[in-house]
Amino acid sequence: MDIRVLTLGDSAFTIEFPKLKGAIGARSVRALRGCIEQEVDEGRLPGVFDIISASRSLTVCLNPDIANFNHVVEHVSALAQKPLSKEDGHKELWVLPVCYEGELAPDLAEVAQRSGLSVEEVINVHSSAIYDIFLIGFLPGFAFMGEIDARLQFPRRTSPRVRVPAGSVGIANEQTAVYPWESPGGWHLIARCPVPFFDSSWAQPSLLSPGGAVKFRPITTEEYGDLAADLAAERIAPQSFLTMEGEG
Amino acid sequence: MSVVLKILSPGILSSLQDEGRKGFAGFGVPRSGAADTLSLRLGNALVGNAPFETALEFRFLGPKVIAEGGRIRLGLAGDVTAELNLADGGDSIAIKPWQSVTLDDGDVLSVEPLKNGATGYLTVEGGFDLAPVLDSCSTYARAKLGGVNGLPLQAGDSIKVRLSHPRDGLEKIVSAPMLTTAETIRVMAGPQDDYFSDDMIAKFTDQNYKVSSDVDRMGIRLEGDELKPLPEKGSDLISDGIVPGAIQVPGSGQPIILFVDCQTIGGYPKIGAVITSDLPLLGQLVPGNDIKFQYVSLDEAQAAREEQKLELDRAISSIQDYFGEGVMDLKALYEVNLIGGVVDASLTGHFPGHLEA
Repeated sequence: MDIRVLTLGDSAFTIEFPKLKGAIGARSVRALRGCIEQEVDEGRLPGVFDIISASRSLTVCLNPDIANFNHVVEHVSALAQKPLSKEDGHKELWVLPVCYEGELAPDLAEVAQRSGLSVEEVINVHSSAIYDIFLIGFLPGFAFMGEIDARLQFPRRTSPRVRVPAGSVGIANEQTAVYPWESPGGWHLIARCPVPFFDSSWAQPSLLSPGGAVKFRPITTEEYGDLAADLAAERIAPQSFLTMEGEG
Repeated sequence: MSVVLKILSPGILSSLQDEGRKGFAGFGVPRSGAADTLSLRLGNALVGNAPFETALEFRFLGPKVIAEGGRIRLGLAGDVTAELNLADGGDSIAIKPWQSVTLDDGDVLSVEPLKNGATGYLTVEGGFDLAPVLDSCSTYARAKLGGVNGLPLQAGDSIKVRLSHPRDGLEKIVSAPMLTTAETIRVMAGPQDDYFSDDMIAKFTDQNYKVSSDVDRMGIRLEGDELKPLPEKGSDLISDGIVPGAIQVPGSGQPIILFVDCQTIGGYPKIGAVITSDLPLLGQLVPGNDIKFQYVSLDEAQAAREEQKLELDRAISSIQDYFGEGVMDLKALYEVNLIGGVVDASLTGHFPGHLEA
């Protein structure tokens, strides 16, 4: 497979699949990540301490006092050029409750107007698809998912918001995501999800993992309030929204 | 009763930091960690700790702290001065940069605003008694990780220390500390230097950049002549991985050096990335500083790391006993000569030469 190696200082480099994008890019990145992690686990890449996944590239972080930069580049490039293994058909499917109402959906009307659809149609289009989880990145537990319906694809807002509330469901270009934390952000906010996405005390600190899938289930503002309270009081576990592990 | 260091006033964005959180970028977790790892390491050496033991980091304005429940030995790292006020009154004692100081129960140490540089540390002999979160005690407030309840330090926070009593001996001072300030920051080209013409690359390295007022642990914004990407490339790219030190050029043409708390991926072209040995210098940049960038090769980056290792070793070997001035002398004499042999002999493992059996 075609790759490019991009230098990122003396302690990191990025391996890019320049021709890939979307779900196929994400799958290749995931497969390469698995190969590198195996090499690290088996002690063949000493000094490699972190791997950052992006949509069509991986960034390998190394300690230059332990690892030889050029050796790691050669080793990882060789892994990337091998045909990548196919994933098995099992896939996690999460059905996440989200509320597309009122102030929980500040950009919904604008998205409807720009797309030429009614608000109900936008909700229907966004919540009827099953999205692939491409990668977790940007912020702890932030899952990039896609691809969304072409009619809902718009570039990021020209002026990003300084504060996007935690739980905001955003869309931008071909992707959708839920902001796990309050943060600055430039995506169009069309709903709010009460589910926490990251907790350092969980065995896996991020609720979602690349390779899984997500479907959104519309709920009312009242249900949103009830669910948020139940989740905060731990009467409901976030893991309970994992509905099945079936054939992908 | 446990011995705690209590925060009377926190200063600005003071937080607990160590080497940072490694191995969790796949879950979107930023690295965090000390803004100036050289000062952290030297400050830990000053109090006999492992290099990356968790320390109290402060930016621009230092904290005011009090020892409660016992004695604590602290190290001042960075260009940091402080005033010590003893519990039993008397004149305050001036504490110099790079010296250790022992606080008795009730003694208050007030760190003064930093005059040169942006970051200072209080290291504590034996370390703070903290539970790591995702393998690190570094504070990352956005996701409430590490530190005290995942937050920057606040007035009233009490941080337990591990040692119930400092080890014997005089205070220490780093007599030849290393400088962590520089006007030239060395960078390696990539990952998107090909987004810029040769003229723009030359403009990047020829000009002096002014450090703007927008300086924090996430990023350092610079002001200079605008850099424009090649028209066919633009300022947006498919997001890829970023690390502390990466220099991104957004549409405004004003570079931002991403720093220790930066997110894990970004969508602006990066004209270069600061080499490992110069990352600690970024932690000392103050708004208004002038800096220049210089491109270096991988080999030069390695040589710079080796040179820096020697410099740090030299600084560490310059640590010596500090007899102090004025009251410090009395305090040292009091502890070592008068009380040391009598009271401390009863403490297991404390009296010099004491045998376990």
